[in-house]
Order: sequence, then structure tokens, then C-alpha cells
Amino acid sequence: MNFEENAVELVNVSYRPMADTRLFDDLSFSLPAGKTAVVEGATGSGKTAFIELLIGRKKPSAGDILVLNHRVHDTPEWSLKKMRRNIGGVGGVYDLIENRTVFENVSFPLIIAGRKSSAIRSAVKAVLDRFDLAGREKEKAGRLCRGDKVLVMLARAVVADQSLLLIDEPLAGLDTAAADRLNGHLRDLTDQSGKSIIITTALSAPDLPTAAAYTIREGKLK
Amino acid sequence: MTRLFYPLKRLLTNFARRPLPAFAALLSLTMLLIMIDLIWITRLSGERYFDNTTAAIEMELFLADSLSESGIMKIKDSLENNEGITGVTYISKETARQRLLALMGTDLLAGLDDNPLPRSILINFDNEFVTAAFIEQLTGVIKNMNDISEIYSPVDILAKVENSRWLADKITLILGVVIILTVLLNLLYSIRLSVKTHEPEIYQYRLLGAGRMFLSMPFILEGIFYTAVASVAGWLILYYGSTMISFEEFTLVLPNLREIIYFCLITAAIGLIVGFVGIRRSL
Repeated sequence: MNFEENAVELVNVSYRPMADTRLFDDLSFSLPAGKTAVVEGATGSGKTAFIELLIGRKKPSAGDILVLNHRVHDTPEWSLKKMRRNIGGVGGVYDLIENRTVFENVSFPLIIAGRKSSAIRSAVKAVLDRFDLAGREKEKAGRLCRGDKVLVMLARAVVADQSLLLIDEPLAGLDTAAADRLNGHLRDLTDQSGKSIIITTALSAPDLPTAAAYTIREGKLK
Repeated sequence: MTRLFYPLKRLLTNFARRPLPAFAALLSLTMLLIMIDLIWITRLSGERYFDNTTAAIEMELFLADSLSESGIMKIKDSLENNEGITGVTYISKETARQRLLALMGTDLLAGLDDNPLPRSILINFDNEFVTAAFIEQLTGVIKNMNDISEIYSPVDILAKVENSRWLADKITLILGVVIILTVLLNLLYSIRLSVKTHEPEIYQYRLLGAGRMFLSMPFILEGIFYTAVASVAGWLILYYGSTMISFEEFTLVLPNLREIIYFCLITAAIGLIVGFVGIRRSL
């Protein structure tokens, strides 16, 4: 296991959500720091569970999970808060708080990190500009269309300069125009940001030439 | 600094977003705390009434006609040496007549050749010793003295006062416990409702790396806010009410300011604990 070079490393991980169900069986995976992996899988194959294992929401039945140098598999959930502050999430278990504004949603990681108000304002403004959301700070997240929601989540995922992004089915439910727009942002992130990124997808995979492609099938990642 | 002020901001926005449930919770808590305040006031006023009643209690020993002046002095001296007795006053036949006159407003003995009123000794007590048990014990001692024709003993009145006090204590305790329990459940329910409303938000905060304290603080502050505001409002209402009413034979006794401040602080501390308990299950 190489903690220093890999942002994410799973070694012989098995996961049983219920006693008679085995979702992952002896699964191993590693994501070098600064690289992108696209994980494809059919509905119910365990893509979201895979992300939940990485952030410690679920514990594996066997095996080791190391994320950003944290031993996720045997660390209590509350002790993973530092690790989680360094992870940006989009979709799946990560969602927007619908009755809060775009500004509030994007600013949460910075508030949790204890940044000053002025720093929060400038960081949020910069990231909203970057994702074509300038001027929409006061809109309620619940009133946004699916494409804009994904962009707001993406803005939230990078606003605190998180080093690992976990993006769960970003293109699901988007029309072609919105998907193209999002693809462009994802390409920029994978090509220029130097962040480690895992993107899961069921049907249409984002067009990311530099990303390593994996498939979840029958409890294995290939 | 942002992390310190943010829970406060969240608390205020939570109230602004759901003013009706917040107001309902505050109102019901205020009413419940007013009930506790009223029980406290009733208890204090009752104590004052009982104290006034017992302070006026005295014992009178009626002396045999055959008893000489020196015999009277002897009895007086022996009574004065008893612990708990603060005054022993000899009432001559003439003084008894004057007292009767003052009491009735007319001389009932006018026209009689002889004053039939007996001589007596009045005994006053230290407040601490005015108990049925003490008076009964003293009565027993006096009964053994010679030349005492009759004893007026307030032991029955005292027994009634003590019984009433005991009953008042029990009722206060039971009502107090029931109302405090209602306050706790009411507050806990309000906090749990608030937590339930914010569950998706709490879940997202956790995923973003928020700690226990960050998540708990708005609900702890909510608990403190409810109890502090409700207790202060309750006392303000009662204080205003107490200036509006008065009784002729009954003095309304309010706790002093320091006691009221302690009460408000204790209720706020309860709010803090209940706030923490309310959010704890969701963490």
C-alpha cells in the first residue's frame, strides 16, 4: 500500500450490506493523487455504496480502505471529519440543502473549516464565477434545475480547495446542453486542477480522455 | 469566529423560517414555567402565613385562687428557665379585666361585686420552638405543677398548622415534579421536532466534515433560548400581575431578585442539557 502516492486505496475489500447479500467481494482499487478515475456500473451495482465506503458512511466487512492517508475502515465516523473536509462530493449521498441559497450551500465547507467571513465571500464569489453561477447567489437551491444543482455541488466541492472529489452520476437526468456544459467543467477539473477525482456513472460517461476507466460488475472493480 | 457566530445565525434563521412552531413552543413553556413560579409564590406566601400564625401563638396557665404571690413568682421563675420560652407574663385579676374590656369593647363585669376572672400566666415562645411536640411536652411538665387550675394550650392549632404545612409540602412537591417533567418533555419534543426538520441539513454537514459541537450548538442554543426567554417572560408577567392585586389578610410573597436570577439561570441550564439530549440521538 502506498499512502503517500495514492489518494485512495482499497485492499481486498468485501462489503455485505445485509447478512445474505455481498455487494463487493475482495475488491482492490487505487487512485494515484492528482488522477481521475471513471467508475461505470449498472444500477444497483454498488457505485454509491463504493463512495459511502470511501467517506466512512459504511464500513467494509473485510479489507482496508485508505483515503487521503486516513484508515477509513477502522476509524470511528466522527474521527473522519478532517478527512471529509478535504473531500468534495457531488450527487449520490451528497446533496444541496434545498431551503438554503446557492451562496449558503457553497459556503458550508468554508464555514465548517472556520474561515473568516470576508474570505468566505471572496472564495464563494470566485468559484461561482468559475461555474457560470455569478449573480445567482441568492437563489434557493431547491428552485434550481438539475444541471444548475450539479454545478452548485461542483462549486461546493472545490470551494475549500478539497483535494479529492467524489462525483456520483453527474450526467444523470441532464439534457444534452447541460451535459455538455458539465462535461466542459469536468474536463477543466481533471486536466488542470491537480485534484484526485472519482466519477461514477451508470449510462453516459463523461468525455474525459485522461481518466482511467473502471467497471463495477459482480462485486469486482475491473 | 465564523464558526462561533454561525450557530447563532442558524438559530435566528431557524426561528424566522418557522415562526409559528417556535412561538407555540415558547408560549407553552412560558405557561408551564409560570405555573412553577406560581407554586413557588404560593409556597412562600403560605410559609409567611404559617409563620405569622405561629408567631401569634401563646400559652396561658390559669392559677388557683389559693396560690400566693411567692408561689406565682416561683412558677414564673421555673418557666423562664425553660429553653424556647421568650416571655412569661403574670396577668392579675385586674389586668385580666382590662384585657377583656379591650377585647369586648365593654366592661362585662360591671355591677359585679367580685372580679371572677382568674389570675393567669401568659407564655410566649421562640418561633423555632413553636411546634406541637414542644408545646405538648411543656404542657406535660406544667400539668405536674401544683396550683395550676387550667391550661390553655395551642397544641391543637399547631397540629393543624403543621398538618397543613406537610400537606402543602407534598402537593408542592408532586405538582412541581409533574410540571418540571412536562417542561422537560415539552422542550425535548420541540428540540426533537427542530432536529427532525433539519435532518437532511445535519446529514450534509456531517458529510462535509462538521464536528459534533458544530452540529449540536444551534440546538443547544435553541434550548437555552426557549427556557431563558420563557422563564424571564414568566417572571415579568407575574411581577406585573402582583402589582395589580392585593389581599387583606394574606401577603403575596415573591422570591427576591437573586433567587429569580438563579431560577432563570437554572432553567437556561436545563435548556442547554435538553438541547444537547435532543440532538444527541441524531448525531
